[in-house]
Amino acid sequence: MSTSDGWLAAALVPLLALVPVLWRIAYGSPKDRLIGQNLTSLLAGLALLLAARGFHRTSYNDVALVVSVLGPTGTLIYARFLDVLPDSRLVRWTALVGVPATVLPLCVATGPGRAMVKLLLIGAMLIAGSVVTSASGGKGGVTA
Amino acid sequence: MSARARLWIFLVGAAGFAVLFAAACIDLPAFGTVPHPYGVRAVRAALSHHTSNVIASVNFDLRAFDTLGEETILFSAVLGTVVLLRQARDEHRKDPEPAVVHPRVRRFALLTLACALLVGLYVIAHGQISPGGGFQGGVVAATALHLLYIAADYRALERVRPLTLYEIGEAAGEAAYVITGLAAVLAGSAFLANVLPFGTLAALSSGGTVPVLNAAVGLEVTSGIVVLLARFLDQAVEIEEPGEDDGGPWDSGDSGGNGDEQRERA
Amino acid sequence: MTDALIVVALLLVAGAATAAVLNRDPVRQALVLSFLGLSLALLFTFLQAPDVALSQLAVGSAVTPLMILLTVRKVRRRPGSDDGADKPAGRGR
Repeated sequence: MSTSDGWLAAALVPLLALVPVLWRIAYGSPKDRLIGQNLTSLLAGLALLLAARGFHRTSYNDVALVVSVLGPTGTLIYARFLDVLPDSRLVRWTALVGVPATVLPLCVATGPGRAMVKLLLIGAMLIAGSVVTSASGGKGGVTA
Repeated sequence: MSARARLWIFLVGAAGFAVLFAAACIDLPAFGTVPHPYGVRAVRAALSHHTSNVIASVNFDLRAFDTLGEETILFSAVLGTVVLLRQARDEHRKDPEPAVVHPRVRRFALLTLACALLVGLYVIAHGQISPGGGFQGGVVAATALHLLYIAADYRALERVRPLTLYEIGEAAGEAAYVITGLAAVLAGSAFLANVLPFGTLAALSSGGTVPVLNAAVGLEVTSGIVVLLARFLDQAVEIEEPGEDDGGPWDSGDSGGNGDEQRERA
Repeated sequence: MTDALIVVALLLVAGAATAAVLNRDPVRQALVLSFLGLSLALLFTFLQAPDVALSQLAVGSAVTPLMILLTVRKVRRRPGSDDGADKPAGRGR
C-alpha cells in the first residue's frame, strides 16, 4: 500500500510530544495530570488526522472525529471527580496554533468536498474542546 | 510473601514467557508484507457481498455467529452487574445533591452531547462502509447521554433516562440479532446467513443483513452501557449503606477519590 | 516511515502500561489508563486497524474512567475504609 511519508513524518511530531505528556500524567501534580489528559486527546487527534492522510484513507478520519468528541468528555469527567479544571495556557495555545496548522494544510491537500467539511468539523471540535476545558474560570472552572 | 520472593517469582515467570513468546514469534509470517491467505479470501467474500468495510463483513456476515456470542457476553455482563449492584435490604436511597456547574462548561457539555450522539449514530449507521459499527457507535452514544450528568447533575440525567426503557432496549437488541438469524432459516438458508439483497457497494443500504445486525448490536450496546453506568451511578451517588457517612455535597467540597492529593497537600 | 510511527506508539504503550503498574493511587492509575487507551488507539490506527482503534477509544476515553472514578468514590465513602479517614480533612478546604 502506498503511503505519503511527508504526512506520516508530520504525524510523528504530535506523537513525540506525547512522551513528556506521559511523564506529567504519571508523576505530575493533580493539576498537571488533568492538563496532561487534556493535551493527550488533542495531540492524539492531530496525529490521527495526519496519519489518515499519510495512509490515503479518508475513512480513518472517523477515529479522529471520535477523539474530538470523547476527549473533552473524558477531561470533564475527571474535572468533575477531582473538582479541578485547571487554567492552562499550554493546552489553549497548542490547540489554537496546532489545530489550524494541521487542519488547513490537510484541507488544501484534500480539496473541496465532504471530506474537507468533516476535517473542518473535527478541527472546530478539537479547538472548542481544548479552549473550554483549559480556560480560566471561577473556582477552577468546574463550578460557577 | 516478601517482596523479594514475589520479584523472583515474577522474574522466573517473565523469563519463561519470554522464551515461549520468542519461540512462537519465529514462525510468524513477516510483518505487514505477505498477503495472508485468510485476508485474501475475506476481502473477496466481503466484495462479493457488496460490503466495503471488510471488518464489518467478517464480524456480521462471515462470522456473524461469533458476534452473537460476543453480544451475549456483554448482555450477561450487564445482567450480572445489575444483580450485583442492586439496592440491598439494609441500604437506603437519598436524593442526589444538586450540582452547580460553570455556565461555560454547561453550554459546552450540552453542545458536545448533541455532537456525540450524532457521531454515535453516524458510526453505527456507516458500519458497513467505513470503520466502526454497532459496538463502537453504541458506546459513543451511551457516553453522550452521560454528558448530561457533567452539564447538570444526576437528577437531570435521571429525568431523561427512563431506565426500564433502556433495559427493554437491551433485550430487544439481543433478540433482534437472533430473530434476524432465524429469519434467514425461514427464508430457506442457514442461521444468520446473509439473505437480504446486497445493494450497491459503498451505499448506506449495502451489505444485506450487515446493517441490520449492526443496528441490533448498536441498540443493545447503547442500552447496555446506559444500564451498566446507571448501576454504578446509583451506587456512588444515591445508595447508602447503613452507617455510611452521608458525605458532603457530591459536587462541591469533597472530591471523589483524591485522598492521595489531600495527603500530598497536608 | 510507518515503522517509525509504530515504534514510537509501541514505546508509548509500553511506557504508559509500566507507569500504570508503578502508580499506587487508583485515580492516578485511571488517568494513566486513559493515556494508555489513547496510545493503543494510535498504535492500532498505525497498524491499519481503525475498527479496533475505535472500539478502544469508545471504551477507554470516557466509560472506563467514569466507572473507575465512581467505584473509587463508593469505596472511599464506606465506613471503616482507610481512605475514608482522610475525608474530614479534605472537606475543610
